Order: sequence, then structure tokens, then C-alpha cells
Amino acid sequence: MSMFNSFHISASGLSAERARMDTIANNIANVNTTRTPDGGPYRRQRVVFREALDEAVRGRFGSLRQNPGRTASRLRGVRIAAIIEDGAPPRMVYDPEHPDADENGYVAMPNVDIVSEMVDMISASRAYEANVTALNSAKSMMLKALEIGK
Amino acid sequence: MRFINDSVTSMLERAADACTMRHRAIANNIANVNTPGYKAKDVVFEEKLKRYLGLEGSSGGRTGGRIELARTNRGHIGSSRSGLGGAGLEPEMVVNEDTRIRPDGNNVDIDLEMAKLAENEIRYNSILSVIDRRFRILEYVISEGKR
Repeated sequence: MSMFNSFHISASGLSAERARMDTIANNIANVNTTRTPDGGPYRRQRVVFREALDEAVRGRFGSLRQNPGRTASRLRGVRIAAIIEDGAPPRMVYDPEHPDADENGYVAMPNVDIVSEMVDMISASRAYEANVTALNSAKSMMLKALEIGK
Repeated sequence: MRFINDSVTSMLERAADACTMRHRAIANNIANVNTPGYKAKDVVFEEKLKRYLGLEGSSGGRTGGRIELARTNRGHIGSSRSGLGGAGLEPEMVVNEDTRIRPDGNNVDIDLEMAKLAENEIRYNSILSVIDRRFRILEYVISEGKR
């Protein structure tokens, strides 16, 4: 069985967590953005992850649950299913002097909570490190196999 | 004594394959640690091997603790995998339902996966060392026999 697929699986994890970091960084950078090209304040974005499988072999081996024993060759790590906008309403802040204040003096600020963005960032960062460790482990195992008979 | 195509070497190969398959399962679990609804995967092999060898459970198991080649016909040569293959002793990937499920439906325990990663790597390296030693013995026998 090929070990090179393990590299692709871990690499997919790295890409996915990096995309999540980019989204978080964008949210933090735009925490006070009241004007967007579509009008209105910036809306928080989030990534949706999905497990990735090699679809080409689906028809032959059936679903994952029915045939778990056949799935080893189909594992492909993780994919970004979508980057969606958070549906929560914007924060209303009272600031009559603000150029974007409405008639009551309230400004619609982005629905980004810095604290939860920081927590997500830590989680993404640790997951990234874990994927790096898995990739190093795969590399070490393959190098060890090369030493047989040397 | 058969040293290249025998049942012990085939068992070692199969154990190494099991470690390779298990690494893929662990890597996939780590990559999907934040995927909603994902359930962790694992590979079972060593327990099946122990039961087959009769090292666990009831007295002696099927073979009394030795690995035998299955030869049911006079003409059988006993190819490298026939003895263990007949017992269905293949590494098998399973979906692990045991660990705690988080609110998003994901049950990957990252600490468990990191520990399994380290253990699996060491196990794989040990199996490869054993295979290497067997070949070195053979090489020694061949080269020293020239004197």
C-alpha cells in the first residue's frame, strides 16, 4: 500500500487550516468596517469543512458505513465545502457623530467578536501543527523503510 | 528452514501493511479534526493476530501458538500468504464510535490521535528492523558460506 497518499491527506489538512486562518485574519482586519461594496457593514465569514473521499471508487465499494474495510484507499483528508457568511445580525453601536450613523444615531458594526476569533485562531494553529507532525511521521516511516538491507 | 517466502515473513509484511493503513487513518482523523459530523477511523490487526496465535483468550487457540501454513492438498506449495490468508487475517479499517462526540458531531480526540501516531511510527520502525535483521542473517549465511 502506498504511503504517498498519507502526505496528500496531511497536506489537505494543512491547506484547510490555512484557509481557516485566512478567513479569521480577514474577520479581525475588518472588525470595524462599516462600508462594503455591497453596502452595509462587513459580515463575518466562516469556513465549512467536509471530509474528502476519492469519489471514483464509490460505485464499486458502496458507502463508507457499509464497507469500512475498503475505505483505506479512498481517504483524501479534508476539503473546504464552502466559505459562508455568518447570519447573525450586525452590532448596533450608538455613535451619532459617525458618518454612517442612521437617523437614530446608531451605527451598524460588523458581527465579528474578537475574542471568539482569537479562540478559533488558536484552534486552527494547533490543528495545523498536528497535521505537520503527522506529515513528519509519514516521512520518517518511509525513510526507515528505505534502510532495509543497507 | 525457509527464510524468504515463509509464513513469518508474510506475517511481518502484513503487520507492516497494517501500520501503513493505520497511519492513513490517523492522518485522516487529524486532517478532519474540525470537520462537523466526522467520525474517527482506526485499523484493527494486532488483536486479530493475537487471537489467531492463541495468545489471548481460551487455551492455545487454533494453532497452539505456532504459525502453520495451510496445505490442504498434496500439490500445495504453500505460497507466502496462503497460511494466514485462509484465516482472514487482514488489517481492517473500522469507524471508531467510542470517543466523546462534540456538539458539531465530530468525535476525533486529538490527544489520542497524536499518541497513536507516535506509537504507530515506532511499531512500524520495529517491524521493519525485524525484517531487516532476517535479511541480514540470510546475507551473512550466503557470504560466510564462501569461505
